[in-house]
Amino acid sequence: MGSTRQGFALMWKFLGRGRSRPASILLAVAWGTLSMMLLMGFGEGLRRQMAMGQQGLGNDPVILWSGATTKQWEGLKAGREVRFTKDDVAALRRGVPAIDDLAGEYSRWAVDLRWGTTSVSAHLTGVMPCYEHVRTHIPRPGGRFINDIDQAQGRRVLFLGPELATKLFGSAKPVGQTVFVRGVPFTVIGVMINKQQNGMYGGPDIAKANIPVSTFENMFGEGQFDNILYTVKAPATTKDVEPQVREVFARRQHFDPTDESALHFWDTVKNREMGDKIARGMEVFMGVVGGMTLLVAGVGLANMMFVMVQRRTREIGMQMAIGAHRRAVTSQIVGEALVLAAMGGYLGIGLSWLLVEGLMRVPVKSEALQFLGKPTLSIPMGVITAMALVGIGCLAGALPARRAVKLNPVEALRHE
Amino acid sequence: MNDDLIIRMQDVTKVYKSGSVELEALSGLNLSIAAGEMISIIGASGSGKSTLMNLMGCLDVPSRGLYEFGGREVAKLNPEELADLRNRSIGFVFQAFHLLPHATARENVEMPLLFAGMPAKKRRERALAMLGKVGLGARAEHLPTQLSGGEMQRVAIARALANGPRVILADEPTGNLDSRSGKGILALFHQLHREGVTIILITHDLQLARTCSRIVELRDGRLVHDGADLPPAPTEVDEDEGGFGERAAG
Ligand SMILES: Nc1ncnc2c1ncn2[C@@H]1O[C@H](COP(=O)(O)OP(=O)(O)OP(=O)(O)O)[C@@H](O)[C@H]1O
Ligand SMILES: [Mg+2]
Repeated sequence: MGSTRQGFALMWKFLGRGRSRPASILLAVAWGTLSMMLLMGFGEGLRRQMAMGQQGLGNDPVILWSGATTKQWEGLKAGREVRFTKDDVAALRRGVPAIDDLAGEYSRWAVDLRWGTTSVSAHLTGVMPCYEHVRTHIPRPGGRFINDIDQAQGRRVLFLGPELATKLFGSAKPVGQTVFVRGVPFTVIGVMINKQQNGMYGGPDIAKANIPVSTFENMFGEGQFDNILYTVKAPATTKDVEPQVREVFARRQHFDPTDESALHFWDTVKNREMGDKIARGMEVFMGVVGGMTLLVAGVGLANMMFVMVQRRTREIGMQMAIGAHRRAVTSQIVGEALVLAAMGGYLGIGLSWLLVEGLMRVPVKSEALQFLGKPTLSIPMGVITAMALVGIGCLAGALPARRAVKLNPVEALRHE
Repeated sequence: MNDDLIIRMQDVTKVYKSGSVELEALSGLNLSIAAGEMISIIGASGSGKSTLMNLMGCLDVPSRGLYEFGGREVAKLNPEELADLRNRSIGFVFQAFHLLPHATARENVEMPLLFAGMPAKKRRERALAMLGKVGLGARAEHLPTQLSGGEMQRVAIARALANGPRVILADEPTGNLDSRSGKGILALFHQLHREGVTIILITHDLQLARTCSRIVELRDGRLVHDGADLPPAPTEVDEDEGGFGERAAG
């Protein structure tokens, strides 16, 4: 053990004294770590951005629009429009037990909203309480979403998207205020948290005004739903539920259940699964590229250590001649590799952090950059990278060191 | 007198193998050196002087024959025991100095003390004392590149002396020096000899060899002369006037 300590002491004492080789090793390791950190950081940022955008639309809803028939059926001509009524929704509830949440949705463009002297034209929807989780209409603290009592009593309550709320109220507090919707007074009960939303219909949720379905009917009269929304108890089975839904409508409105154009389904589960696949593919790709980066860095490190030990063979011979144990020599070399790898790793992690922080400070409005999201440097990733490099450094030092001390001092001293 | 023998070689042979070619660099050598001697080993280039020094210095082991250093059979020691033996009992002075280029004179002299496990403070004191002894007290914090050849060799000698060795082995110590510096180094060896250190001086400079009390000559790996005087001519070594190591090593 004494010899190992002697080796470390010597290494530490002479580290970096007038030597350019260790500096280049350190920089190589720093570069490898930096590349790895940035690669993984941007990958993770992109993945989170995608997951967040996916969630923006909601938790696996299926959205259903009506179309027109294209096939003749039971003596009826083609081209009839399919309609969504309250009874249809009730029939769906009875006929398809696999369905979990179920709602008919009203929507109306360019509805006039007024608060004090501010007037804004917005998209108004009539929704059910289940939208809070199914469509992630999550209220900001201090507010709430439409609940069952609002729906049952047809209360005039208003839930606003954050962008709309800002347009209407500026910096004032919206909750509790009275807003006139087409001249009818409503109480604002909540404002939605801001959210990323990749998939949407009728515009982004942050710009919409929402009221209970019952209230909507009171204002505009009971009519056809603009669309229906449901979730399935086992999200993976939406594909199997789809024909059951078709069957219910086909029976009630007399059309061919195989008529594809009668009903349009937007199955977000399918989208999400696709997104998951892309994300997983990306992770594998990043892993492979990262692994290759590490490998290249490792091979470079090993090669540099090898050359460095070669250059110092005579020095090693001299040390052995004046009484260094083999362990004192190997620990110098391995110690140096370890210190260089660790310092390089540290430098690389530090630099990547600075770079990412710097990048975040630059205000970018570019869509591409925004889609890239916020690069997320993961500490475990940094630790894994640094540890891998330290391991490689250890090996890269140990192999040539073992070779060097196998020489007898005379051979080492004669080395050119 | 026998217990005072530092080096005892009996029928020592050293064979170098490179591929299928075998070269007998030393053949059947018998040589004993007692404590306190100052001996020079001379011979033409390629005669086996350095090979002999490497064996005597326990840097290498003989192919055949018996070699005892201070009564211990060297062939029976493992690499770590050999390292300790070199560290405590032998001081090397090489033609090429072999100083660490990025370490100061003091740090170079401290090296063998570090391998001996001496604590830092004592190491420093001892190294400074040794540098004072070789006349470099004022240059302790200089790097080798800031020193002259003669000064570098003095640093190497201070390093050789650091652990108070029983013997100093010097292989062509003046080979890279001008004649003035060479004379200075020789004077230093004589001074150390007077203080009781055993000195083995390898050279092919006869002027230098002549100053030693015992002269051994090698020719083609064999010992051909061992006495108090220079061997009688003919010898392959030049003997021109003032020939202080002018002849390049082969
Ligand atoms: N490691 C080695 N491998 C093979 N041959 C060697 C080795 N070392 C020395 N020799 C050969 O052994 C012989 C003796 O070499 P050595 O170096 O001992 O001679 P020397 O007397 O020191 O010569 P010089 O005065 O030139 O230094 C030479 O022929 C040399 O080529
Ligand atoms: Mg020689």
